[in-house]
Parts: sequence; C-alpha cells; structure tokens
Amino acid sequence: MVTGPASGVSTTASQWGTYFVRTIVPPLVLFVIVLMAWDGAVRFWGIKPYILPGPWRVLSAILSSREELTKAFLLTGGSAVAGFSLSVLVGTLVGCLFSQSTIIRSSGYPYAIFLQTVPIIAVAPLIILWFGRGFGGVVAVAFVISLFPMIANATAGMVQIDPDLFDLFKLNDASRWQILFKLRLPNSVPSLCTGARTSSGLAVVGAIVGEFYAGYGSKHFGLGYIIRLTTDQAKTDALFAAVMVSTLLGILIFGVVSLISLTVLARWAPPEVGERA
Amino acid sequence: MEIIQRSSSIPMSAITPDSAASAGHTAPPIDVAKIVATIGIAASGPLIEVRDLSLRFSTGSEILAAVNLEVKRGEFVALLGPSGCGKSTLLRVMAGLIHNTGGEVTIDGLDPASARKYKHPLAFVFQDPTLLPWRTVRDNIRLPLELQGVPYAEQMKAVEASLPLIGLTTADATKRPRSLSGGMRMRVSLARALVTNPHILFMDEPFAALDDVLRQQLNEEVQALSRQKKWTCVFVTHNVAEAAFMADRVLVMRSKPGSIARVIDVPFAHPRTAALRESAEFAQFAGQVSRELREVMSW
Repeated sequence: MVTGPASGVSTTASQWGTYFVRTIVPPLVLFVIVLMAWDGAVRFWGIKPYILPGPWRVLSAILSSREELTKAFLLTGGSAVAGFSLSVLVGTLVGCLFSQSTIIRSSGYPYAIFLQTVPIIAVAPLIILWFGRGFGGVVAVAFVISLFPMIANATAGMVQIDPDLFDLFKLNDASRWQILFKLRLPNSVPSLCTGARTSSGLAVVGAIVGEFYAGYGSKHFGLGYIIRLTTDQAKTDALFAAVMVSTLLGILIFGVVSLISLTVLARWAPPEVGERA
Repeated sequence: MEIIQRSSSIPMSAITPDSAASAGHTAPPIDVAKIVATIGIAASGPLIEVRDLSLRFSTGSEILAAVNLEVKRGEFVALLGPSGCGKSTLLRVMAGLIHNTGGEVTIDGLDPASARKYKHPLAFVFQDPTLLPWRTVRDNIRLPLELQGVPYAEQMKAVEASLPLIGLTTADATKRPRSLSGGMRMRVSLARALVTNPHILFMDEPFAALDDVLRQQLNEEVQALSRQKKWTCVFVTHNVAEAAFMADRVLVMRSKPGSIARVIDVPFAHPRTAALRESAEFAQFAGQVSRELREVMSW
C-alpha cells in the first residue's frame, strides 16, 4: 500500500521513508509479477533454455558465478561512478562557464549537443583507443555518455534565474564571482540533481559499452565483458545473469543519486506531495 | 558625519564623468565647488531629480517620454498609474538598474549607480519577495551586507536589530522561506531592505499580492518606519487608497509612453493610523485621486 502524501512531514527520515514506499516498492512488486509471468511462460510453452532460460535457471547462474559477478559488479560500478563523478564535475564547470556569456554559450553549446547525438557504440572504440584499454578507457566512455545531461541542466539552472534576483545583486554591487557562487550555483542545484539522475543511469550504460571493447587486464572482467563473452558462447542463462546484475547496478546508482538529491533539495523546495496521473 | 565619511571614497570619475573621460590628455581642473556640492555638505534641494527622461527599447517601442520629477529628502512619493504605464520601469531607471536613452536621473548630483554606492545607500523592495529559497530568513536578510563585504559579526548585529522592526522574531530567523506565509515573506524582504540602513527606499508594488487586511497593516508599519528612519521613498502602486495613505505626494502616470500626468499633494498629517482610512476626508481625497487617474487613463 502506498502511503499518503508527506504533507506536514519535515524530517528527512520520513521523506526517505515516503520515497522508499513510493519509488522502490512499486517497481519491486512489478518485478516479482514479471518473474512469475516469465517462469509461467517458459514452463507453459516449453521454451528452450538457450533461447529463454527460466528465472530459476538465471538465479542458479547468478549463484554459481557469484564471485565472478561480484567482482565484475564492483569493477563496472567503479568505472560508472568514476565516469559519473567526472561528468558531474565537468558538467557543472562547463555550466559555470556557459553562464558567464551568451557568446561563450552559443559557441560551445552545439559541441555539447554533439555529445548527446553521437552514437556511443560507434565512438567507444575510438575513446578506448585514445584513453587505453583499461580502467581509464571505460571511465572515459562512461564520462562521455553521461556528460551532456549535466551540461544542459547545469547551464539551465545557472541561466534561468528570476531577473529581480539579479537586480538585487546588482543593487548591492555584487561581483561576478559573488553572482556565480551565491546566486547561479545554488540556484542550479535542483537542475543539477535532475541532470545527475539522468547521468547516473547513462554512466552505467557507458561503462558496460566501454567494457565491450576494453577490459581491466587478465582475470579482471567487467559486466560488459561478461555480457559479450556469454553472448558469443550462447550461454544465455549466464548472459541473463550478467544483464540482471547490470540492471541492479543501474538501479543502485540511480537510487543512491536520487536519495542524495532528495536530501539536498529539502533545502530548496517543499517535499513533493505526489503527482496526478 | 556618516555621509561625509561615505563620500570620502567617491572616485573622481563619479563626480566629473566628462573630465574623467578626457583624463588621457590633460589633468582636469578640480572644481571645488562642485565637489562640495556633490558630497552633500550643502544638503538642500531635491534628493532625486529626473529631467526629460526617456526610454526607448531597441525594438523601437517608447516606454517613457519626457518624464520630469523631483523627490525631496525624507519625502514619500507614490507613483500611481494603470498596469503597463511604465511606473516600475521608471523606478528601475531611477535606481540605475535600467539605463535611460534620453534625459538624466541624478541622486544628490550623482548618477544613481554612484550615488547608491558612495553616498546614499539605496534599497529596493520588489513586487515578489525574491528570497533565496536555500537560505534561512536570517541569511536572506543579511545578504546585502554580505555582498557589500560587511564583517559577519556586524551583519548579524544588523539582522538582529532589523527583525523586531518589521515584526519578525528570532525564531522566524532560522526558518526557510518555503515555510513562511506570503505576508511573512514580504516582511523578510522588507527587513532585507532596511538592514542596510538605506537613505532611499524604492518599492515596486510590494504588497500587491497580499490580502487587504495584511496590505493595510504593512502600509501602516512601513509608513511609520519611513518617518522614523527619515527614508526618502518612492512607492509604485496601482492602488489609489494605498497611494493616498502612504504618500506625501502622488504622481499620476499616463501610459504609452509613460510620463507624469498629474502631481497631487496629499493633505494628511503624520502619523497616519488606521483611523485615517475611515475618515470622510480620506474617502473624499481617494475619490479625487481616482477621478484624476480615470481622466488620465481616458486621454
């Protein structure tokens, strides 16, 4: 059961509780329903395991290769988090730069859009070539794919400001730095949080795509490498296991970023009281 | 004394902009009389002067034309006019936030930006409270002082002194704007304006979004405070009763382009209390101002 809106609730713990009930529980319930339907379909139609293994078979594959998957989870997660962190840092810095002048913004923004439109699967081999076949290359792919949402949201948050607030700062002879650090940057925090949520998911995708082309050296495999290997070997249950773990990684990173956003944004706006369908 | 101290740091460019422009050739002669007049030793005459002011946007539309007005020291002037007549724009030009394309605005002989920086601290209250949502009430109020580089201890002292003046408590000071009502947010906005101890206070329809009772209450409080602090106030409103209650003079504006159409002296003595609004004289005067406003609007 989904609880009511958090009106009047001011504690962060309560907000987290509400967030958990509203955001985590429903997809988990749906996940269980999908698993049951999946299992039923495999049994009912007698689908071959190399085409679609049942959920129990996948679970068994996860358990049997849990050590390998755990290592891969940590490696891929590390690359994704590193790429995501870089994109938050660089995206915010680029947003700061773009906010300083319309000319800088209009000169640089088309190249930022290039990051969004370029097919990452096509440029990943190039990036690996430039940054090396190890951790650095994978992080670079994760960084490139997750950068644009941060630039776009940081720029929007630093530019879209109530003109009266600019007048207030101008009346008090605020310097460019004061406007940046005391107005533009704090004003952009809600936008940065929105960008971070999008970027975090993309960084996981980027890390996995990067690992299609690069590993971390012998005996160190990321989830992307396992996905590619098991596809080539037609080990569909192991492929499903790697996909499941990758999904879990994406959800985990997205969830952590969302929780941090929620905590930070408590200072900016009242807790969201729900949306109408 | 405070004025003279402030004035000591006026750059020559603020005093004699023309001569500063030619500084590359020969050193301009120092005009002692002009400096003495400028730094306020002879503090007579109007504080704010607007002469043949015009404003035309780059699109070609004429917003203000041939605006002439004077505001005396300590005077409370209301700019009254219909929506879109340019009264808020005029206020912003007078504050130096928008540059006029013709005529001139001077505050005690200086351009507005120099005047507010070196000589007459100027505060502006916007139509919306324009508070920073990530800052507490206290941090919002001290923002102008923080931007001006005032030491933290002095900032806090000034904030604590301003809170009771505007009906805020120390407990309110730790709250964030989102947890305040509209009226309380406007009080914070007012406190932020008066924390700088301004000589001039510009208010752009600050109470337009408030309910009638709260608006009247704040009218009374701000009116009393302006007398007590000897502020020179320019108050933009489209509310006739508010203008009549608050101001010493009401300047009625016409629109397209905006200019001053009528100047009406308000006959009521100070202090003004809620009882004034219930008097027959007040109703009669407000009626007269309304008629004048309607006439101007029908031109």
